[in-house]
Amino acid sequence: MKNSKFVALGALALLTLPALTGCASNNNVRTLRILNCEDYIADDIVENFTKDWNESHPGEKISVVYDTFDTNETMLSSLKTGKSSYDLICPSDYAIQKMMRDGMLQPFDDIPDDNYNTYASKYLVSRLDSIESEIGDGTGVKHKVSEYARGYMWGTLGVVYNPAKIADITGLEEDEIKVDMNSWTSLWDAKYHNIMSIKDSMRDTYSVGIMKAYNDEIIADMDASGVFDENYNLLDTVEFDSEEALAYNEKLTKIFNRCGYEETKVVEKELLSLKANVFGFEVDSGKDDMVKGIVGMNLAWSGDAVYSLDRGENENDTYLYYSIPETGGNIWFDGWVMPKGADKELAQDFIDYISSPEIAAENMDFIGYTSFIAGDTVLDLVRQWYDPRSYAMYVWHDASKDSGCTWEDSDFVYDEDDELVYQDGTGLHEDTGDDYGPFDMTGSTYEEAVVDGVAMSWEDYQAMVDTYNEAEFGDDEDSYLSSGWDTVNLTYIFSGTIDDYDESTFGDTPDDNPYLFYTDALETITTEDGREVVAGRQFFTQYAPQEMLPKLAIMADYGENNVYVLNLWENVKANNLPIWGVIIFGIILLSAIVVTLSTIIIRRKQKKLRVERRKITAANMRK
Amino acid sequence: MSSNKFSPNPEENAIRERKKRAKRGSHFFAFKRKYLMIPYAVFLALFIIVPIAIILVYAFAKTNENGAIVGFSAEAFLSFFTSTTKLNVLTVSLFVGILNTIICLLIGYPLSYFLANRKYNTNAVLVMLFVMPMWINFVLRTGATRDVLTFLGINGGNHAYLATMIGMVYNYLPFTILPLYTTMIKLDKAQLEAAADLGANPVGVFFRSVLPQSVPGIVSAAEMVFMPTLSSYVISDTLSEGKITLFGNIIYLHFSQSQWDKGSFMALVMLILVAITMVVSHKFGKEDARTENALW
Repeated sequence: MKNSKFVALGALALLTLPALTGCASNNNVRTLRILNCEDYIADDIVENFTKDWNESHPGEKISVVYDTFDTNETMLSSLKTGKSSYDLICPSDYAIQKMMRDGMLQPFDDIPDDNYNTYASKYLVSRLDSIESEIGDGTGVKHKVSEYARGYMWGTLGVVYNPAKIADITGLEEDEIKVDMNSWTSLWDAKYHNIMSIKDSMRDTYSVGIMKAYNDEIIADMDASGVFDENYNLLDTVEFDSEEALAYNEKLTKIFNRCGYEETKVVEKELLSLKANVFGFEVDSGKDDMVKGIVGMNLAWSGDAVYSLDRGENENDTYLYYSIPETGGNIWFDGWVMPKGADKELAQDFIDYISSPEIAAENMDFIGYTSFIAGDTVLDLVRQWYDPRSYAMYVWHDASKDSGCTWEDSDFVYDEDDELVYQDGTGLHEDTGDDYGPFDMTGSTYEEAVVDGVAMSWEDYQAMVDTYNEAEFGDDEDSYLSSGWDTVNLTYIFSGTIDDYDESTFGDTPDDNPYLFYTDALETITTEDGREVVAGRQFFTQYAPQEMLPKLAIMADYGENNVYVLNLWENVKANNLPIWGVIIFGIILLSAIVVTLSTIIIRRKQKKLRVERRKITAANMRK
Repeated sequence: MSSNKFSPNPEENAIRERKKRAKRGSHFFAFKRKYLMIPYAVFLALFIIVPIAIILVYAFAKTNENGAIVGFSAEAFLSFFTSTTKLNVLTVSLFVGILNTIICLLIGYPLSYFLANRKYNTNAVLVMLFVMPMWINFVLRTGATRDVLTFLGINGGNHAYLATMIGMVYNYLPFTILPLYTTMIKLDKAQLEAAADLGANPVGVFFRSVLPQSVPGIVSAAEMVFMPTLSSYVISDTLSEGKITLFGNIIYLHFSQSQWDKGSFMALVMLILVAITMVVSHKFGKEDARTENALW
């Protein structure tokens, strides 16, 4: 009997075996297995990559398996427990360090002229260079993370807030709120009780606790560093990548990465009082809560902030703001890594594909996070998004190059959001209605612009628009600014990634330097004690301001100290039974005991009675 | 008696013949009814026994950073019983579980009594209405509950416990109503009438006849509510805005941070608690129930 059972089991196993091995038997098709975070790539990129690759490699064929994970932690434990293998995974900075330390990764080949090395922002790569980790080979030698990872997206952790809503609830002035949001300590302020949701994520909330617990020390360091003015802004005379600035950043990074036993105890106290002051913890609901107005503030990653700000503006007429407080905070990266045993060639081909500026811009436009890749197309996209000058023509002009359509062929329609867009061979292009200025562009083509019936080159057209802008807004920078426009400097991102530009000829206004932007999205508020505070919206979510960079620190993997932070987090999240709960619990337990005891006593009595009755009956019977 | 011997008895011959045939058949594959159990046995082993064994092993295992077992360790055991935080969380979970069970029974019991009466519940439509929320995905339902409660001004920010309890009761009420309803519908009406005829007042009828008859329903209803509440964490997480941490949350936290030993040990504690509940409630149920007429 025992044997027949085994036979049956064996038969079952035999039946399932061919099904398991069937997919691997076809050797002509190579597979690229990608594991990415959820909603973290534009829809058709994977498909287009497969198509492109197959076309450029006749006789070979690949297919891409694309899976997703929700958090770095679940991804790590599923990799450790499961036998699943991937060729490319996209974890966050600290998880990359952890994977390196555990010896799970292999380095990328350094190909000097591939898309990544050409277009990845030089500054971001240098930040990635600054973090290192052992690679689990037992030698204890540290390797740069940049050898083992290719940057994908990056951003900051800040506060998204809704000044109108908070003003509504608390009765504070909106300006006061905007000034307060420039400091991490405001989250602990009783003024903002029950208004804010923070991240139900150990590392992110811990980093905020650090910024509060060591606030005084950080400010003292800033004063001592000599690179900041009295508003804690970087001095105009100091470059963001100067030695002094980097030295300060190193100091801050050390504070930011404190996670020993004593330090976690200090932070724990802070986080417990923060817990008492906030509305709640959230992982994913915070974005929608901000849009709906359920909460007034939300601790958010910059990419999620983009989503909240966009949706708030488009759907609810809610104008949300994003702030990275003046003492700084976290700068984070997500990057692609290759586990050992990965198909290196295919993985690197994919990285090369998604690192081209066109794909990066498409990706960025789709998911809202900021790409690691700079390059011309990304610059165009950013300009199209944020520069208030007339770039409608610019976009149209660019699109007409591929489609060959003329101005008349382009069809201007309103899309579902009631925004004026135009349609041509390449699809829909966003635009805003009043961006064409006063000119009639009928007859324009890619080769030449026709303005009010007069043909001219596009350069002349640009000059004309500039003249128009000068007439409208004055001819010097100050009057641009006086009409509510600020200049934002993105040199740090784009410098050195666009071949066509000769950066030595660049001036210092947006008119003669494409890395500078006018923006109408910043507000400068002067406080009562004469400090100037800048409140920002979209621009800050996509790109942290250049002068902020020395104040942004990378939070490394906690390593051995993870247990302390975990212990802290457990203590922060857990709660005692409230007093009324203890009373109710006591009453319940007491009454349970009483009921049980009384039931037992009553039963005994009844049993005794029954026995006696039976005795009597029996006695009667005998009679 | 040797079976090879020929017997003059024709009946015995026939039996031997049948046995022979059966034996021949078994050289290939003799289908027996008990083989139908194999899929269930495989299922049981794969999804119930093996996972429990894994939990048991990991609860007392020392692991290296890649999750491989390298030895025995009582660290998880010690850290659980010495951590006031973990014990606090367990207390809160037990409290929420017991309170939820009681509230569900207090609401569900009279409700099922009335629903079982045809006068109020023609065609059983009402029962269906009460049970209907069970048809909707549990996570979606909780999300919707959050929206409704926010609309009413009750949220995790200001009333974390209240919001959680409302969510719990709302979610588990159908599980109380169903078993109670099936018991109530089978109440022996003759007994109730007899009790009344013999002079019991309505209160007496209830305590002497209705209540004892419905104990199996109460027991299975309590089980159906208490055990899942103990391990649930989505409801408290969503409705208390993460401010109330139940035992399930803390187990999840440890697993997600690769603290498999501690997570497994707490899972084991939960398993033991559930087992105790089962044993106690079955003892209770059996003492009073002569008929197994509960649904669950």
